[in-house]
Amino acid sequence: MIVKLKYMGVVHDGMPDVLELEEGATVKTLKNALKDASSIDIKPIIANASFIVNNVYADEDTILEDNSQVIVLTPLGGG
Amino acid sequence: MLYGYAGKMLFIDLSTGEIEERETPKELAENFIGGYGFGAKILYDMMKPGTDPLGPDSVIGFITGPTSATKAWFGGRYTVVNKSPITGGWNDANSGGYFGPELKKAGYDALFIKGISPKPVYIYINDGKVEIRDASHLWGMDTKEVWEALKEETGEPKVRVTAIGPAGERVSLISCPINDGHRAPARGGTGPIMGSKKLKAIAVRGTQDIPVAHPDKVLEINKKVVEAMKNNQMAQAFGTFGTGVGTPASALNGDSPVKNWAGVGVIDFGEEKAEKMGSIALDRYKTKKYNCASCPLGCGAEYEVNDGRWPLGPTERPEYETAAAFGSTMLCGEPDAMLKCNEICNRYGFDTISAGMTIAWAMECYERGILSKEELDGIELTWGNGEAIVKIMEKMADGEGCGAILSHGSQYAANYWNKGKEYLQTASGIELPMHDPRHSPGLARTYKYDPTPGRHVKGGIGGVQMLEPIKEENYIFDGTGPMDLGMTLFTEVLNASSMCYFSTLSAPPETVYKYIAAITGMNFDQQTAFNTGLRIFMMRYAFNLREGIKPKDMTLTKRAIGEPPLEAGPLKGYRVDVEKLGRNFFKEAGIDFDTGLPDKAVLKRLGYLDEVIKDIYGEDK
Repeated sequence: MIVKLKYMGVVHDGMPDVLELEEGATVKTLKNALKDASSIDIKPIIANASFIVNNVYADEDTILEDNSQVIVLTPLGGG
Repeated sequence: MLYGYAGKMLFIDLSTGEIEERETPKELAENFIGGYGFGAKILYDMMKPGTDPLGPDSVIGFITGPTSATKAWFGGRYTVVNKSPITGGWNDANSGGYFGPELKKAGYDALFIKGISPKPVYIYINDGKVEIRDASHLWGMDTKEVWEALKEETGEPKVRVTAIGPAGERVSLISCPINDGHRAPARGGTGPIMGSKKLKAIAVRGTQDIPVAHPDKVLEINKKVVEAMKNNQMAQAFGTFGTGVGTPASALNGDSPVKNWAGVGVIDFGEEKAEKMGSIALDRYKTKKYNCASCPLGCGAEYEVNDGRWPLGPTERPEYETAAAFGSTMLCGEPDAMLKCNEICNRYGFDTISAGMTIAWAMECYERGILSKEELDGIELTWGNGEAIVKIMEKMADGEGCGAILSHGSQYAANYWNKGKEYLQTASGIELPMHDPRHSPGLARTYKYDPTPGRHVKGGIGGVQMLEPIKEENYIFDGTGPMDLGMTLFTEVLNASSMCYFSTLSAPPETVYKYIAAITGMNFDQQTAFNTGLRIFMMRYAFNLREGIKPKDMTLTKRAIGEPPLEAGPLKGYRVDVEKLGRNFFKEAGIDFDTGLPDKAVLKRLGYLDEVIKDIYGEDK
C-alpha cells in the first residue's frame, strides 16, 4: 500500500512525498521508514515528529490504510 | 580592568534632571553577570517595597551583558527590568536588534532611570556624552517615525533607538518600547513605565571597543558554534524561514493554543489555515534577511507586502508568537490580518502576545454573549474574523472606545467590565505565551511560579519538552525538581550574559559558560554557573517576596493545565499537576513552598545576598 506525505515544520528537502509500506503498517513503521530515508541531520527531527493521519492526530500504534494522507509535524517551539 | 564590560553605569533622575555615572562594581559583575542579574540586584537596592510602578520612585533599567558588543556569537541582546504594573512584582523582558551593543559601545553596561519628567523627553547618549533632550516634537509619533526623526536630529544615521509609540504614551499596560523598528523587550509592562515617566525614547551611538580577556578563545568558540549551527537542521530552518517556520506544525500538534486555549488545532483550526499562517507560505513577501547584532543565525527578515486587504509596503516578518497569537488562538487563518496587526503593534508599541491574547479573550466573551456588540463599538468579533480583529487592534492603537479598555490587556478589561474573568488565559495577570503546558507540562511550572510569570523563555524542563512529541513520561510529575532547577539556572546565566535563547538550538549549553570565561577572564565552571544562576533567581524571587508575593499567591488559569482536560486531539485527557511541579522545583531551590521563605543557609552559601537575608530574617545574620 502507499501513504501520501506532507511535511510541516523543518523543510525536508529530499524526503519522500509518497511511501510504499506493507499492509497493516503503523505510524511507528512509517516513522522508522522515514528515519531510514533521511540524512543523518534529519534523523533526530523525524524521531521527534508527530503525525496526523487523514486529519486525525495519530499515535504510533495507529494502523495506516492504503492512500492515507499523512502530515508529518516537526516540532520547533520558537518565538 | 573589568574585561567584558564597558565599566560604567548610568543613573538618571528625570524629576531632577540629574545624570550620574558610576563604575560598574567588579563584585556586581562577578556575582550577577549582567542583564537581569544586575537589574534584580540594583532595583532591589533602589526601590522600596510597595513602590508605585508608575510613580516617580519606580526605576526602569536597560542592561547589557558581558557577551554584548564583543565578537561572541549570539551576544546581542539587552534586558529591560522594572516592577510590573500588571503583576505588582518583578518584571524583565529582553530584546535583540542592535540597541544593546550600541549602548555598551557608547560606554555603559546599564542605564537606570527613575523620576518623572515634567515634559516629554528622550535620552541621548553618544560615546560617553549624555543628555536629556526635549521630546515634545516626537510625542505622538510611532516608533519607526521616532527612529527616523532621531537619525536626522542627531546627525547620526547609525543611531540606535528604543522608543515607545502612542500606546506607551497613553500608559497602556501591555505596551512596550520597540528598538530597531521591530524588536521589543515587550512583556510584562515595560512601555507603561516609560510612558509614565514621559520618556519617549533612548537614542544611543557608540564606537568604543569592549576589552576582552581572551579574544583568541572567543574566536575559537565562535568557530565551534558556527560549525554546530551548520549541522543543525532546526537552526538552519530558523535561519531560512524564521521562528514562524514552526507555526503550522505547532498549531496542529498541540503546542500552540487554539480558540483561546479551549480548542483543538486539528479539529477547530485545520491544516489549511495552519499552513497559510506559517512563514514558509509567507516567504513570497521576503525581501531581505535580518540578523540581530552578533547573530550568525538570522531568524528575522524584512517583508514587502503589497497585496491583500492591508498592503503595508515594507514591514517585518512576524515571529511565531505573533502568528499564533493572531492566528490559531483566534481561529484566524487570514495572514493579511495577522501581518497588519504585527505592523500596528510594532509602530504603536504593543506586546503582540498580550495584544493577541486580549483580543482572543474579547472574542470568546463576544461569542458567548458576555460582551455585547455595543460594548465592542459595533464590531462583530466572531471567531476567525480577520477584519474584526484588525478593527479592534486599530481601536487599541488609537485608544478609542473599547480599544481604550482593551489596550490595557485582558485582565484590566475583565475587571473594567466586571465580567468574562473565567475566560482569561493568564499567569498572575500576564497573558500566556504561545506554547501550551498541556503539550509541554514543565511550562506550567515556569508560567505559574517563575518570578517573572507567564514566559516561555525562562528555562526549566518545559523548554525541552517543547521540542519533543507528546510523551507519556512528561506527565509523571515525580522527581522533576533537579532537572527543572538545573535548566532554569542555566537560563538565568544565559539571559544575564545577553546571549540569545536561540544559541541553544545548535551550540551546546556550556558554550555560554565558555564565552563568559573567555570574555571576562573569570573561572566560570559548571558549579559557578549553578551558584550564579541560583543567586540571580533568588534576587528576582526576593523582589517579589518583599512585595508580599509568595508561590502560593501566583496564579495560572485552568485551561492551561487541563482543568477540565480537552476531550479530543493530541492533548486529549492530559492534566498537569502544576502544584507538584512547583513543590519539586522550590524544594530543590531551597525555598519552602508553603511559607515562601528561602533557606537562610542557602542564601548565605550563595553569598552577596546580605540585604535579602536582612529583609527576611532581620539584622541578625
